[in-house]
This record gives sequence, structure tokens and C-alpha cells, in this order.
Amino acid sequence: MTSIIRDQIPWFIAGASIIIMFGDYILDPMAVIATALRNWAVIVAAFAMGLAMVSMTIFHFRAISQRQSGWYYSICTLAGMLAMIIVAFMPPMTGSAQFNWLYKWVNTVSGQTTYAALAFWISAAAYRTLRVRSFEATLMVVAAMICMFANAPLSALLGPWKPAASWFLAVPSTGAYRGIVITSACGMIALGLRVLLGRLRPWE
Amino acid sequence: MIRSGNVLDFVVMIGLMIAIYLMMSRAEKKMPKLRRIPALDALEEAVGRAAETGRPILFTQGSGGTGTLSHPEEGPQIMSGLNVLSHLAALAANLGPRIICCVGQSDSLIPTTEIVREAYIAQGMPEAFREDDIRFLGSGNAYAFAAVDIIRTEEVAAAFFIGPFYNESLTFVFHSDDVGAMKIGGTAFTHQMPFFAAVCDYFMIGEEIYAAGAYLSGEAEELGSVVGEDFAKGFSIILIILAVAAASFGLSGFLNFMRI
Amino acid sequence: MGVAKEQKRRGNRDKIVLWGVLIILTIIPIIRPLGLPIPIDPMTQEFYNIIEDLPPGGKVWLGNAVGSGIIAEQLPGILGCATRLFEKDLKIVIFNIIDIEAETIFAQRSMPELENRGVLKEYGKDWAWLPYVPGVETALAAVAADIRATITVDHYGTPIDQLEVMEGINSVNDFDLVILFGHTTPFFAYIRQIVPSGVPFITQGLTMDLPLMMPYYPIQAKAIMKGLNGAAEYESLIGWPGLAISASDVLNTTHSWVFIAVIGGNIFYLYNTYVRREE
Repeated sequence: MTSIIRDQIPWFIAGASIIIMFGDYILDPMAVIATALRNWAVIVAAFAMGLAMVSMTIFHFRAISQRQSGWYYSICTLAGMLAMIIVAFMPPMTGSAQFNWLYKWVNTVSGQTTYAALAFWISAAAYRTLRVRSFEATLMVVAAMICMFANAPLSALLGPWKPAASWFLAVPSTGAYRGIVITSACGMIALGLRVLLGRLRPWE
Repeated sequence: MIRSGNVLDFVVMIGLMIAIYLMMSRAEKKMPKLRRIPALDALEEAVGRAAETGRPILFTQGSGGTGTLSHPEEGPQIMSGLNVLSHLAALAANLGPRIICCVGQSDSLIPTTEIVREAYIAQGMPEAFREDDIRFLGSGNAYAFAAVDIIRTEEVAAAFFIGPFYNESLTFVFHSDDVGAMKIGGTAFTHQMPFFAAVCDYFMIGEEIYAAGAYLSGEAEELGSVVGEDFAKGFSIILIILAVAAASFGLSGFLNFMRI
Repeated sequence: MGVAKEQKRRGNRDKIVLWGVLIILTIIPIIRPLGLPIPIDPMTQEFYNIIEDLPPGGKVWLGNAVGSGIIAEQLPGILGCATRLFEKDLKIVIFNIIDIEAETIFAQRSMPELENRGVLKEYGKDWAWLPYVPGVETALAAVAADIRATITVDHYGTPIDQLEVMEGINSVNDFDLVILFGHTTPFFAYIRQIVPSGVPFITQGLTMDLPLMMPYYPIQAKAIMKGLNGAAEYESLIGWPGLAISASDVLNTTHSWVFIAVIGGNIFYLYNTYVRREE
């Protein structure tokens, strides 16, 4: 009985889901079941978010109660989480001025900061990696320099610079990316087949 | 009843799945050989390094939000990453270093916890499993900042980044580099591949992460499925050549057939 | 060990110089704009022409998937595009699908600016703003097939059947143009769910996503505006200088510096490897 619950039922659910979604790709009548399945997946994910929040809360409470290193940051984490939950429920729910203020000046700004910091990481990565160590590396450096400087508006005044960068984007880069996407897709098909046949059991 | 525009795709996919299945069956008689994937060969080296230095290992799969496992592009990558995690956790249970999992997707917290727990139980060390080391850090930017803090505070010896990453990828690898960690990355997201390739010590590109489970387990059927993928790729190449020739010579009949 | 330490120290020193100059070259053009020229890229011109060629009364699906991480590149683009759409005689419906933050960010950042510019027309008659629909690509597919089955009220809570602009609009097929602002996830979702309908589709891509989007140009995506550059070019075409034009000087200076730094780094590397080694 335990084996049926642990192995067979999850396998049946996974297999049936794969077949339904596969069928939806080709058969119109399957759309109703497929849409319901997608909606159920969203609902399960929402509950998983609740569970993850509980897990996070327990972890930080434990860190505070045991005075683990950085326990004061756990207070900040829980306070921030609680603040957002409270203001989100203040009328008119997520339209309240407090929610908008927190969202705009805390959440959005932190997102922009993460993204802005990329400027430093990318420049350091480019400086470190683009070295003419070999013939292939030299080709890469030349292509990278042409494409990178093409992003500066001034490059349009340098004659064939922007057309050269456009060629790199449109021809070799596009070809390589298409190849990677096709092979990734083949890998995904094989992965799905392994789950369908029960050879891969991520639930175990 | 039948969706137009998808018929040929559907038939081709069925054909590819049959080919992959045949390769899986054939593999039981003759074990196929895969080329080396350095990133996966380095798993043991990385765990050993962590054990020697007494520092932990970090495993993370990128940010996401709700519904990541059911996302068409993120879900398979997360599953592949969890495959690698099961082998990684077994190695960690055997050799001793702590394994800290930073989870950025709410729906993969439970699978991650169970996979690591099962690995420790299988190695006969259930008491060594620390549930506190499997941490859900929120999603998006909160997850990125928190994971960086863990990398720096714990001074991880090895960091594994396998899954769907977005703009936080470069932040992670740079901070891991700062603490002297060995970095092993893998993603099928083409927009993050250059960043991983630039800074990681070892890196898996695209389908290598999907083949990771087969490569690490060494089981005949799983290896056979990877061989089947190669057949699928070969078929795709033939199809592309035919389509390019048809478009070049104006064979509209063939092109219309491909649009069925 | 000593060599490794020395290398790390040198690496840190290089990083400090690299980042220090980068910060200075970012701040100077912001404080004192340099006014460098902005030549127009053919793809931006195509993006502009497609919108200009829309007939009076044309219906536009404006897809907003601008989250907090991509505000810097996409916000100027969506602002400029929305400004131009409102200036023309068009019916605009703003959809917030895929990105959960997009609706809030549009309300906080784009709407006040559009109100300042005085371009907003009569709500309900000329344009509508629909709320976020959870479900990523599933939601997009559902909305594209039947809007009213998925969305019943607009952003303000008004039933969409009461909006004059929504008359005769039931699915994506009723639109003359679909425009998307977002990153790769919404882009690929639109390619799969919207493009098969046959409605022309144009988009603005992030600079780093361009290699991924280019395979779909010009068949699936009729025009792709290239990141912040493209947004600056579009602002100069429509005559509304904004955030993108003000950032174009920064793009010029910072890209030039990284270019020089990489060239310089390679010169030092070759000198150390071949010249100093011989000595």
C-alpha cells in the first residue's frame, strides 16, 4: 500500500498530466481538461508559496530564539514580510497608498539595484574573460568588442561598425542560439519521456 | 477538432519519442558511451575540496516565483537540477561537508528537502541531515541578496548553480569567486549562458543539464535516452537542410506541408 | 601562495580602477549632458513606421510586462510608445499579463508621466487598462482566445462590457497590432500564443536578449527595438525627449570606457606574456 501511494499514484498523476498536455497540443477538445490542469497547477503553486512562507518563518523564528549569527537580520526579514502582508490587506487591498509606497520605494528599488549592479559585474567579467590567449579567443574578443561598442549610439557614426554588429547578431549568433535551443528542446522531450515511462521519478 | 499548424510537429514528436524509446531499450544490450561532461566529473572534486577545507557546499537553482515547476522552460531545468542535487547530496553525505540549498522557488522547496533527506538516509546518515540548511529565501531580488549573504557568510568552498537563472546569475558567480569557491554552473537559458561561461570553473550548456541525471547514474536506459536525443538532433538537422533547400529553390509545396 | 595573493591583489586593483572610472563616466553625463548625436537604427525606424502606418481608429494591444528589474531599459520605451499611440487616433487596450509587477509599475511610473504629458485621451472611449491575470502563458493563451472569458473588469473595477473601446474586441484577432514590452519570457509566450493568430507583432527587447530575439525577426516579430538605444532613437523620432535620450550619453561614455579597458587589458596581457617574459 505504501509503495502504491509513494510510487504508483505520483507516477499515474505525472503520466496522465503529460498525456493530457500532449493531447492538448493537437486536439481542440482537450483544451478544457488542459486548462483545468494548468489552473490546478497554479493553485498548488500558490499553496506551495504559503508553505514556503511558513518554512521561512519557522527558520527565522528559530534563528532569533537561538540567537544564531545574524539573528537581527531575521527580525528585519519577518518585520518586512509582516508589513507587506498587513498593508496588502488594508483597503482597498493592494491599491492602498501604503502598499504602493512600500512597493515603489523598497521592492522596485531593490530590483533595480540588483539589475544596476550587473553593470559592474559584466564590465569586470568582460575585462577578465576577453583575453587574446589563443586564435579562437581572439576571434571571440573581436566579435565581442564589435557587438559591445555597437550598443553605444555613437557607433552608428563609425561607418560599417553597426552593420557589422548587426551581421554578428543576425548570422553567427542566431545560428548558434538556434542550435542550442533545438538541442535543449530535444533534451526536454527525452526528460519528459523518462518521466512518462517512470524511469525518472523526481518525487522519490 | 485537430489544431491546424500543429499536426506535423505532433507527428514528429511522437516519432522522436519512439526513437528515444528504442534507443533506451537497445541500451540494455549494449551500453552506450557518452562524451565526458567536465562539469559533472568535477562534482566529486568539488565536494572533496569542501570536505578538506571544512567549508560548506552551496546549491541553488535560480529565482522564480509561483508555478515555476509547471513553467514550460523553467520546470525541466529545475527537475534536472534536482537530479544533480540527489547525486551531490549523496556525495556530501559520504564525504562530510554541509550542503546548503538556497531555494528561490516556493514549489521546489519540498522536493529539494526530500531529495537531500533521502540521500542522507540512503547513505545511512539520517542524523547528519539538517533541515535548516534547505532555505527558502523568497523569490526575485530578496532571494538574490539572501543567497549572496549566505555565500559570503558561510564562505562556501563550492557553489553549484544549476537551473533557470535570470539577472542574479552574474552576482552569484562573482561573489562566489570572491570567497574562493569552485563554481559549477549549468543553465538552458541562453541569455545567462555567457555570464556563467565567463566566470564559472565548469559549465554545462543547455542539454547537458538534461543529460546530467543519465550521466551521473550511469544506468543503461537513461544513457540510451541521451543517445535517442542525438537521433532527434540528427533528424532536426536533416529537416532544416530540407527546409532551407526548399525555401532556396521555391518549393512551396514542401514548405506548405511543413506548416500542416 | 604568494603568486596567487599577488594576482588577487592585482585583480582587485584592476577592478577598483575599472569600476571607479565607470562610476565617474556614469555620473558626469547625468549632471552635465554631453548632447552626443543619436543616429536612428533601421529597426527602430521600422518600429516607428509600423505604428505610423496604423489607420485611424486602429486597435492596438499594448502588452505591458515591465517588471522592476527591467525598468531602466523598458520604461522609456513603453512611455515613448504609449505617448505616440495616445497622440494618434487609435483605440488602445493595455494588457498586463506574464509579469506580476507590471501593472503596479505602470500605475506608479508610467501613468503619472503620461498624465504630465497631457496625452491621455478619454478613458473607456479611446483606451482601456486591463488588470493583471495570473497564469503566465496559460493566462495569455486564454486571454488571446477569449478576453471576456478571462477578464471581466478593468484595472479600476469597471466591467469591461461597459467600456465603449471594448466593443467588437473579443480576442487578439480583433486587433490591428500587438506591441510588447518585456523580457524573454513574455516574448516567447507572445511568439507561441499571439503570433499564430496572424496579427502583426512588434516589441522592444532588452539589449542582452537581442541574440535570442533576432531569430524571430522579421517573420514572427516585424520589428524589434533594441534596448535603451532603441528607446532613445524612438524618443527622438517622436519628438518627446525623455529618460532614454538622457541615458544615451551614459551609454556612449560607459561603453567606450569598457571598450578601452578591454583593449588596454589585452595590451598589458600581451606585453606581460611576450615582452616581459623575454626580458
